[in-house]
Order: sequence, then C-alpha cells, then structure tokens
Amino acid sequence: MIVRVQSMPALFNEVFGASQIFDQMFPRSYRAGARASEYPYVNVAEYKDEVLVVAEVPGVPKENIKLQLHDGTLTISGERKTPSGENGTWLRNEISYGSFSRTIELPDHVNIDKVSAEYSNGILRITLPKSEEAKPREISIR
Amino acid sequence: MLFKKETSEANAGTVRTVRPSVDIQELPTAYVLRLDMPGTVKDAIKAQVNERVLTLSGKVPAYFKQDAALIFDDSLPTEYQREFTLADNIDTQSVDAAYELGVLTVTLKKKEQYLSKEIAVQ
Repeated sequence: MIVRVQSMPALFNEVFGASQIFDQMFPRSYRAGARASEYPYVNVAEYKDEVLVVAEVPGVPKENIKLQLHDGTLTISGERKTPSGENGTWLRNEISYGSFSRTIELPDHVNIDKVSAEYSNGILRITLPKSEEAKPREISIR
Repeated sequence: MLFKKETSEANAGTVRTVRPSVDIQELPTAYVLRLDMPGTVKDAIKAQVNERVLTLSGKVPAYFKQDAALIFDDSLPTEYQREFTLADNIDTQSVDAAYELGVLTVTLKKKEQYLSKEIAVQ
C-alpha cells in the first residue's frame, strides 16, 4: 500500500491517497508536508525505537545541506549548484539547480536532542530516536 | 496500528523502476550526460551499448529495513533505467561513466571525422 499526498493545502485537511478514511486514521503529525512535486523527495518510516527520514539530494555535497529542527518540524535546505567546468550547448535540462527548502512535520514523540544525519551517494538519512514515553513497553497487570 | 502496513508487506517483491532525470550537454569533442540516480552504488550501475542503444541502469538497495512501518514516501526506487539512441557521430567504443554524489556522469566522445577543424589555406 503506497499512500501519497497529492497536494498540500495550507490547513491540515489533506487526504492520503484516495480514501478519506486514511485522513481520519492517521494522527495529524503523520500527514506531514509530503508532496510529490516538492524537492527534495522525502520518505519517512517508523521503527520501534526511531523514525527514519530518507531524502534524495543528488548532486549536493553535504557541506551545502542544512538541517534545522524547529517547533516540531524538520527543514532540509541547501543549494544545488549548476555543474561548472565544461561550457557546452545544453541539449536537454531535466535537472533543477538552485536553492531548495522543504519542511516536514515530525511525529511529536521524537527526541530532538538525539537526532543524527548522514549523507552518502546523494541520499540523506536522518535518524530521529523516539522519546522514552513513545517507545512500546509492557504494562504489568497487577 | 491497524492501518499502518509493514513495508515488508507493502513492498514485497515490488519492482519500482525510476526513469532518472537527465541533463545533456554538447561539447566540441563529446557529449556529457548527467543522470540523477541517488542511493545506488558504483558496482550496481551498468552502462551498456547495444546496436547504438545506450542503456544506463542501477539497482537501489532498500531505503528501509523490513520491519519499518512506512509513514509516507515520495520515491522508493528499486532500480533506475534509461535508454538513449546514439547518433552516428558518437564513438560507441568510448563510453566513460563516473558516479559521484548520486549523480551518474557519462561522457560520449564524437568520432574523429565529425569533429570540426580548421584547414589551413595554402
């Protein structure tokens, strides 16, 4: 099942996929600002202990990427520079260059003090450990 | 938890072939192609020429482990592939490919007889 946000209205009334039901089933934070036409492409998955964000940022060295956590959101911004060197004739240009910025809303049970990020082969992996109260735990029955 | 599907369940055996975006520039002696293919590795990329068709492809290891619950996705490629038909002026023996920062750069040299040159007037 692949759910995709088709558009992102200003208010949090967007619908995941085709079914309104999803909108009601997911907590607000899971309907964070994903939009297929936005750059960079972002994928988010949840594990038992952490949330993992995988962003595709090809052609951008890590020095040119900035990550900011603010008020429950994660912003990935930076600049993709036009390749220098050869000055040929452009026959095709499908890749966009210039500044980019994308903000996604984080699930509110993430411990923002322990966020880590790594970059390799055009992929940015951001690991957000869950806060203690969000981890699954067993409750003993007395 | 009822409506969150495990990625293993959601993606089991699914092949998602992405057609990478490309930039093509013509230089005096060569053509340079740049393709966005993030997340693959050098050893998983193939560049093949067959009957003047250049096929560029690359496998992508899964972004998430099997026990992940997918929250949302813009792009979960399992492979990249794109084909280009090469014109007669390209030397198909001279394909050079390099992969850096998730971008595949392919250089195709022009054949000698198609290069422009000045002829000195006696």
